[in-house]
Order: sequence, then structure tokens, then C-alpha cells
Amino acid sequence: MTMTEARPEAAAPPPPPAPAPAVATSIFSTSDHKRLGLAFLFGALGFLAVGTIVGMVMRAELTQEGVSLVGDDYRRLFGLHATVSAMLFLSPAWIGVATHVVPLQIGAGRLAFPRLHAFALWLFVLGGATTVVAYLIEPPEGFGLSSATPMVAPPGGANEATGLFVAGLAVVAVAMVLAAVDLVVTILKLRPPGLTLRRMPMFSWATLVTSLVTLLATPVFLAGLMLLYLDQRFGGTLFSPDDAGGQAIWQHTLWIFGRPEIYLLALPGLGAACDIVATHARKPLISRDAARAGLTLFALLSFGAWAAGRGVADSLVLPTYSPLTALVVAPVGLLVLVWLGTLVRARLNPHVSLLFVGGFVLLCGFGALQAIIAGLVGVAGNAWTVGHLHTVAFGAPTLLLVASLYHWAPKLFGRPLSAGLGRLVFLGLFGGFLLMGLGSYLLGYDGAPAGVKDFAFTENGSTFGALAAVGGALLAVGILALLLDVVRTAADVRPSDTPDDPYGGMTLEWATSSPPPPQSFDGVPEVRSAEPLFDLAAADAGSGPVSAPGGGGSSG
Amino acid sequence: MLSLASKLLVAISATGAAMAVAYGFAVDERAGVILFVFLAAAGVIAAIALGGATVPDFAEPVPADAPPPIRHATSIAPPQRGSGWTAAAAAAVTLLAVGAAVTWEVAAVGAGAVVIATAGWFARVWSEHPSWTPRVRDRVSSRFLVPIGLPVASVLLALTIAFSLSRTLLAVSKNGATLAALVIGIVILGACAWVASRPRMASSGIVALAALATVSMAGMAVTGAVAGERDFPHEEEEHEPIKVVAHEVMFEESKITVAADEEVVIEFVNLDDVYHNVAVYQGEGPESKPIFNGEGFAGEDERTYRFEAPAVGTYTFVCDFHENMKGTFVVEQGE
Amino acid sequence: MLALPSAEATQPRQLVRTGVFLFITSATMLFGGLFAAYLHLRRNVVPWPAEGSAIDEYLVNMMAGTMILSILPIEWACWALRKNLVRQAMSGLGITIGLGVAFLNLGSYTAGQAAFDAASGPYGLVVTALFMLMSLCVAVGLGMLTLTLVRATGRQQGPADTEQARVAACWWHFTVGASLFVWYAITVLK
Repeated sequence: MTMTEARPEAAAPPPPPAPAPAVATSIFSTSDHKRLGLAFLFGALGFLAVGTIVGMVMRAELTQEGVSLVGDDYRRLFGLHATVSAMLFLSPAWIGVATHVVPLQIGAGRLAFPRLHAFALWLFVLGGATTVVAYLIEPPEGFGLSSATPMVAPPGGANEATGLFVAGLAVVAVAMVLAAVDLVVTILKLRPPGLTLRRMPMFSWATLVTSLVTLLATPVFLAGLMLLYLDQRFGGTLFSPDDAGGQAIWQHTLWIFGRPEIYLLALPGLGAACDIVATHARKPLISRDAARAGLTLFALLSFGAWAAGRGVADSLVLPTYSPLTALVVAPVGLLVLVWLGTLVRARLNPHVSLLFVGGFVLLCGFGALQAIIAGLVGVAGNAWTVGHLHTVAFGAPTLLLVASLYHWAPKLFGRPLSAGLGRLVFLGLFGGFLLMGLGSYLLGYDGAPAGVKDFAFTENGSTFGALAAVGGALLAVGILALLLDVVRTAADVRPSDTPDDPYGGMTLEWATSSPPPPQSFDGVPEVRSAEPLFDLAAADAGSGPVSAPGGGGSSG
Repeated sequence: MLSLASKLLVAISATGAAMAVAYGFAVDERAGVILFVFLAAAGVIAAIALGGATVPDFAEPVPADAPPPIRHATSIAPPQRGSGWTAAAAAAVTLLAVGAAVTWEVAAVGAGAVVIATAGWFARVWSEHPSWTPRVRDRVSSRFLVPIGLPVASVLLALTIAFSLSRTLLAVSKNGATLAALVIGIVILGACAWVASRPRMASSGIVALAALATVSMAGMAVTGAVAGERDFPHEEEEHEPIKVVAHEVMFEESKITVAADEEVVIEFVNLDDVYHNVAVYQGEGPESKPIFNGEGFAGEDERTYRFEAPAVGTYTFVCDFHENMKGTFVVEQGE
Repeated sequence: MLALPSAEATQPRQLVRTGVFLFITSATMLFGGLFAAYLHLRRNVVPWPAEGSAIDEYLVNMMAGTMILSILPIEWACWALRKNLVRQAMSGLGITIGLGVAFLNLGSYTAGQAAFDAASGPYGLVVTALFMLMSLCVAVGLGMLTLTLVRATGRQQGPADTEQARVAACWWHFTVGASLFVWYAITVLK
């Protein structure tokens, strides 16, 4: 049975709406979610490069006792590295990947508010640039946001760099909220009939949850930034070390945003890992409900660990802080079990993205082990925290981000990234995070403080510091290789001969060409389950090709 | 019937409420409880807002004898075309934020830019409405854009150029200002000559040139405003600057006398390595109305403070960082 | 090009309304952050309000009253648009905009009259922050109302399409509610 036979019996269907014109518009005036997503991603990678360079300089400084590479600027660099890595890399990178992939995964082919998203993109780029420039002009007063006692305004107001720093961050925060709103509305309103929220791929579900938490938690950060701005600009005294009230407020501001934010850096990655594992195992997850529950519980717990960490003087520590933080093992463990269960007895497609997912699990396990040890030994708030940040908070999610890049490269860049370079990237990133984390953890057990330029190394201290430095160098190599691979692949303008569905996937993003056409989809498969492409393939196998298998849907 | 998204938000609300209670009992500290209460309330608002999703959240049951699944044309309307106004609006908002941090003049320019960008974006949206016809466009253009918009835009442009250039020229040295003005003049002349010499120029080229010019001006304005004006020689230099020294957490002077209606110039030397400053207050000390707060700095260093002398009377000068450092500040009738 | 059958054309409705509701949720949390700060400081800082920081309650009550009054004209405008009574809609929107401008004007006067400012201490800082946020929300609301007015004049809002007007009304009602909260905190709770 071919379609032409079926035509006369069916009532004449209304003509499909004309696809958006495939006119090449500049990046400043595009409404194509794919280009917006790539722009977010490249912006984030650019800031990553800045943060990495700064981090390397800092690490070099730390390794040599008594040597002053950067002099008094160390404090400035510390703040710059922390801010760029925390706010200007992972979150926008996930927004970028989500902007590109989620409309494909849900078969919408567009965003709900493409212009709002473009507005958010440029707010992010310009706001982030303002923050970096603030550091280049003059170090903002004070130790930066990471301190529980934020910047103290000298009477009469702080220097302009501090105001610029706060303003830049505020603009970036607004950008994140706007992008989150757009993603939520896209996911909720633009799915084709048949694609219920329960049938949605895990990455899209994770993006939905992440965006909802973002738009609930980020505004409180903005409120704190407003108070900080007024305090700094007009020389108030709210956030001085003497004012316990102000301290408490700042800690709340930082932590109702900061704690969910740390979790949100990983949450989209967890969803992506679910999709990656399922696709390369060539079978659906053994329990989608469990995976969804794990992702949701992870997000709910992000509001739960509510206080500043131990070791910060006069901080508010909720007695339930440690148990609630420890509880995060539950959803992550559940997800890992789901992945393992899916991989068992699967016709595995050994793809480099699975390496990164495995690395994530190992890093998380390593970090959890260290957390237990630290709890027993009673260490906190020093170089140990640096180690923990670099393994669990930033290292593990970064591995998942890179996994997503390698997995969705045929859609993102039109062709796969190099598998060989991918293994090098993995070695660099995983090895780098591991060694750097280990070195910092050991320094922490040894009693070394964090954020201080020169301190008296103990006997072992210099070895641990050297270990961390080697880790840092490996990390830099990995990041360099990644950037090289991504830029090289993205810049390759030759027509791609990558198949639509190189992995035999089951979700809708594999139903369009690689890279997708400007209108993203030429035809969306009817969705009757969570694996629409499997159903389509089964239908093709059962009753002869209705549309060309695998390669169909690409325009001429 | 609540959609799954609403249920998710109710779960977040419930978590917030539970945390509010737990936090209240465990730590009994206001800010946290209130934040969690707001989280619960916000979650409920969002849950209600998302309650009626138009895309049904339950799948139509597929009868067993249904034809196999096939591809459909995309059923969702294609997105609107993008617009350069979004990037312009983002730049305007960032400029406003930067201005809030730096000086109010930059903020004012930013606010104006926001209004312009919003108007441009709205004009774009307006022109995409089905009721927009070329005749309507001509009417709007001839009745509104040209008679009102063009003069207003020209005036604003002139003011912006004047402001940006003035910030830059004031910030550099005297000779540098002359050189900068020459260079800028040559650049503008050259650019216009180049544009004039080309028989045709694509609109994208003109837009790019305009964008480049705007960005340069904005950058100059902000940099200049941040750097501040260079020191200009003041006419009344006959008064010797008053020297105040801070040493071992004490002022060496206990009384400062100045003339009213004149600029007070204080050369403040900080010989300690802790932060000191000189601040003048109306009454006995910092609890009263401040007249002037000098920038604090750590020694050994010196700064010059300048401010207008207040009305005749007796005030107090203190160090804002150390309570014990105090003295009398007297303003006398000048000659 | 394959002649594909099209699914039922499900035009997504109410995209903007959902988006604005989510934005209102975010703004609620923004106010929540400042309220948490206010209430926390109120409990911990003595004296509260700070010495000499009396705010003229008459002015603040007038501001609250202005906002409450503005609920009516905006609803009238939305009703009029549905009934295709463009003149009435324009009047309603115009009155709402006028009341909003009056609110901002009164706010700036009150701030000028107040004996405290951002630098005078925690009370001054947090009240200034609340006022600033209020004014920002009202300004955004005024922008939305102006755009709605322009569209109504241009017949782009009418019985067939009242989305923009409804969205502006939703945001305006949120602003009114928030201003009442601020009024409550400053005058009743103190």
C-alpha cells in the first residue's frame, strides 16, 4: 500500500503550513532554535576558555611556594575563575544544548518565543562580558560572592568595578530566567499530539524540571544582588562582617540560589545520560518512571540542603544539612541503577559518549567516598572544598555535558565529533578532574586553606599541590582538545553525509536529517509511544516502506 | 484535572512548605522560613497557571486496527522571523545595568536606548500582524515616523554623540584629547567618504557600520565615564590644602578650620597599614547626617579629598573605620 | 517532496499567557527574597524602623489607593476590547496608565521626602530596594499597557484577539498585589 492509493479515499487534508523560508539570517536576527542553541553553547565555551586560562595561572601560582607570578592580583583571579566557572559556563551550556535538542526531541522544531530567547542569548553574552571586564578594570571589593560574608562597602560607596560585577551578574541571571521560561512553555505547549509528558525523552523532562527550578530559585539571587548593589553603590552597611543580620540575608540569598544551582548543573546531564544510555543500548530504559522519579527527586532535593556549609564562620547550618545533602545519593543511585539495568543484555553500540557517562559515575563515587571520609575526619571549608567542587560540583556535570556534545554532534554540528580525539578529551577531563580533585582533597586533609596565594606547605603539601597542578594541566589539555574538535567540526561547511539516524535511535530528534533543515522537521512521525522511531521502523518492516526508512524526511 | 507539569509544581510547593515548617522548627530563623513560604506560594501560582495545558496530557488510545504510524507534516505554525531588535534590546538593557553601576548619565542613555529598542521591537511585531498592509505602512511612515520620529531621533543621536565624545575627551590628558578629537574626526570623515564613494551599498553593510559606530560610542562613553575626568586646574589655588595625618589609629590634628562657600581640599596621609578615611558629620559623630565621606584606603598612602564646605557651623570629622578617631571641623565665615 | 498528510493543525494557544504567568511566578520569588530580608532584619535589628526613619504614611496609603483604583479601568478596558468598543478600551487603558504614572510620581516624591535613604542603614536599604522593585514592576506594566493601547488604537486588539490586553492585565494585577504587600509591610507591620 502506497500513499498515492490512499489519497483519493481520504478527505483532502488542509495544506501543511508553509515552512519558514530557508533564508540565511545573521546571528543577530535569527529565530532558528538550532543557531540560538549553538550560540549559547559557543558563548559558554568561550567563557570556559577564559576561566580555564585564569585557573591555570592560579594553579601555577599555587604550586610554587613564595613565587609571585601575579602578585596581588591573585585574589582578583580567584574571584574571576570562580564566577566564570560557576555562572557563565555550565548553565548556559546546558541551555544551549537544550535549546537545540529539546525542540527536536519533542517534534516541535521551534521555540515558543524565539525572539525572547535571542534576547536572553545576548543578555547572557553582554552581561557575562561585563562581569569579566569588571575584573579586568579593578578587582571588585571584597572576596566575591563565594564568601559567606559578601563584599563590604567602604563608606561612600565601592569602586565602579564592584558595581559592574554585580550589574553583569544580574543581567546574566535575568537571561537565565527568560531562557528557562521559554523552554518551559516550549515543552508544555508545542508537543505534537500523542507525545504526552510521560512519553517525552528524559533529556526534555530534565530540561523542564531544571527550567522550573531555575525560574523559582534565580530571582532570589537577583533580590540579593539588588541589596548588594544598593549596599555597594551607596555605602550602606548591610553586608558588613559586623552585621549578623546582613550576613544571614546574604547567606540565604546565596544558598537558596546556589544550592539548587549546583544541582541544576548536573540535572540536565542526568537526563541526557538517560537518553544516551538508552540510545546506545538500542533499547528503552528499563523503567522510565523510575528515571523520571529520580530526576524529579533530585530537583526537589536541590531545595532541601538549605544552609551555608560547615566551616564558614557564624553560618547558619540547618541540622538537616548533612543528611539532606547525603540524600542526593538516592536519586543519583537510582538513575545509575536504571542505566546499568538498561545496559545489561543490550546490543551495545560502543560510543565515546558512554565513556563520559561512566566517568561521571566514577567521579561521583569518588566524591561521595571523600565526603564520607571528610565527615569522619572532620575536615571542611579549606582546600578540601576546592577538591569537592572540582570533582562533584563541576567536574562530573562537565563530563555529562561533553557526553551530550558527542552524542548529539550529528544534530548539533551536522557530523559526528572525532572518536579518537574524544578519547583524548576523556583522558584529559576525567584524569584532570580526578587528579586535581585528589590533590586538593589531600591538601585539605593536610590542613591547607583555600583561596590563599602562598601558604607554608607541609612536607607532603607540595606533593599534593604538584598533583593538583598535574591534574590542572591534564584538564587544560582535555579542554583544549574538546574546543579544537568542536570548532573544527562546527566550521566544516562541506555538505554532510551523516545519516539521519546513525545510532538507530528511538526518539524524534533522529527523525530529521543531520544537520536538520532550517525548519528542523520536514515531517514528524506520529507518536504512539515513547519510542516513535522504533514504532515507525516496525511499521516499515511490517507493511513495506510508507516513507523511506532512516533517510526519509530530508529535503532535496 | 491537573497536568503532569502542575503535579510537578505542586510537589515543589509541598517541598517548600515542608521545608518551611522544618526550617522554622529547627533553626527558627525568619528569612529562611519566608523564602520557603514564598516558594510554596509561587509553586501554587505556577501550578494553577499550567493547569490547563492545551496539549492533552493523556494519549488518545490507539485502536488495534489503526493504520501503522506515518509521518505528518509539522502541525505547529512556523516561528516568526528573527529580528535584530532583540540584540539591540539586550545591549540597551546591559547599558542600563552598567550605567546603574557607573554613572547616572550612562544609565539615562541606557534607559533611552531601552525605550528605542522596545519601540523598534514592537514596530516589528506590529508589522507582522495580518492587518498590516503596505498602505498602512505608508500612512504610519508619513504621519508619524518622518515628521516626529526623524527629528527626535536626530536630536537624540546628536546628544548621544556629544555625550560619548565628551566623556572620552574629558578622561584623557589635554594633549591626548586634542589627538583623540583629530583621530575621531578623520575616522568619521573617512567612513562617510567611503560610503559616499560606493555606487551601491547593501543595507546590511549600512546596518553593520551603524552597529559598529554605536558600539564604539557606547564603549567610549562607558570607558570614559568609568575613568572619570582628568584633573582640571582650579582657579582658587591660593588656599593651601589642609593636611591631615592618621598615625597609630589616631588623627594628628584635632581641629580643622575652613572657610564657608569654598571648596575644601584635604590632603590625607595614612601612615598605618589599616584602612582609614576622613569623614565629616553634622553632629557628634557617624550617627548624624553625613556631610562628606572620603574614600577609605590602607596606608602607607595619601589621597586628596575635595568637597564643598557646608554652612557655617561646627561639625565633627571622624574616621569611619575607627570610632576613637575624632576631631572638630569648623566652618567659618569666609572673607 | 513527499505529499505528507498533515495532522490536525493544533495552533498553540495561550503561549504568551503561559509565559507571562511563569514570569509572574519568578517575580513573586523576587519579591519573596526582598520580603524575607525585610522580615528578617525587622526581627533582628533594633530599633526598627531605624531612628528618624519615619515614612509619611499618608503618602504610602495614597500610593496603595492609587493602585487599588487602577484595577477597575484595566478590567473595563479588557471588557471593552472584547465588545469591540475601542474608544472605551482606549480610555480604560489611558486611565490605568495615568494612575500608574501617578503612582511613580508619588513614589518619587515620597522617597525624596523620606528622612532616610539607601545608605542610612538596613531599614533604609531594604525599604529602598522594595520601592525600587515596585517601581520597576510598575514601569514594565506601563510599557505593556502602552503597547496594548497602541495596538488597540491600530485595531490589532479586538474581539478576535485580546491576548495582549489580558496579558498586560495579568501583569498589572500582579503589580497591584505586590504593591499592597509592600504597603502592608511598611505601614502595618512596620
